[in-house]
Amino acid sequence: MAGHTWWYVARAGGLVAWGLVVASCAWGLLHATRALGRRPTPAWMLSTHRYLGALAVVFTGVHVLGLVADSYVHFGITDVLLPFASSWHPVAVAWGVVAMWLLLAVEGTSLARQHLPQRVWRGIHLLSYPILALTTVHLLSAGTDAKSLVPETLAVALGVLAVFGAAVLLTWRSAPKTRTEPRPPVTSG
Amino acid sequence: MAPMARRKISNRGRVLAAGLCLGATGLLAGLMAATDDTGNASAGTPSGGNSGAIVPGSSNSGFDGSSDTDGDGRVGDPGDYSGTQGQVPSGFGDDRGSSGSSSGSTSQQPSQQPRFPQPNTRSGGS
Repeated sequence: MAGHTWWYVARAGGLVAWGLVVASCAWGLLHATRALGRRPTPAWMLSTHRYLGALAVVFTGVHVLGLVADSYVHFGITDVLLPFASSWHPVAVAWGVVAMWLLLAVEGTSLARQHLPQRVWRGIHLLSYPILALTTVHLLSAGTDAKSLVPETLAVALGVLAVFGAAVLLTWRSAPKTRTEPRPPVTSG
Repeated sequence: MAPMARRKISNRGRVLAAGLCLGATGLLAGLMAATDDTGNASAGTPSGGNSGAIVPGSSNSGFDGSSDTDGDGRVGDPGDYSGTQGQVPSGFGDDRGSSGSSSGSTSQQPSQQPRFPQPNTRSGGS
């Protein structure tokens, strides 16, 4: 059993990373839509959202390093860095590999946000939705624990929530132009 | 009132969140180890050596073991499966050889069962 420690760490790290991706996306949606009102300040929401994203990157690293370090499942570095390089479930693993690179892109551009045009940052940041989808597909198709820990119904519900949240976000984005202005002194005249 | 004006997540919050994630990882890993251990060790899987390892390139048998639960109907499996099948025989033979040595009379089917702790545990061993 001790020989499989990294294998367990890799699997557990992957699950936690997936949960963090979900949490970060949910937090980002809550932040963008101001769904929680003004209680948690937008700055705090943003800070938490970013921290969750950073944790997702860290635990994705745990997942990947665990797979490489493990001697029970022989994944090489190229297997975990290049899509379709792995001969074990190449497609299922590729979802995760692509999601990992996209996650790094989102995180990297968020860190360098001040140096990037807003449009570029936003375009890349919207890749969070594909990331959420890809990681979920990766979990369900390649994950050993998909059946036992994450029922498919939960994944479906998650997908519905993500689509719904994106729709809410889009409609919210179009509304603020008229909504944000009247807030402070609506009836002054 | 003071917390309302908080601008960023506090250091305590950061540590708490990170600790929570680490704890969850440890807990999950422990659970996996515990459940896999029952299915694995008792099944006589070669737990220590590489002979019992899942080699991505040669894990067709492992894939079979997991395919009852995970693999069969899932994304991209047809391509993967046939793709791996092509290169499996050598690794598969190695695996079998090692398991054969442990059970003595392992021929074809039994090697799928005890071989891979995770998939077999998930699939209930059948």
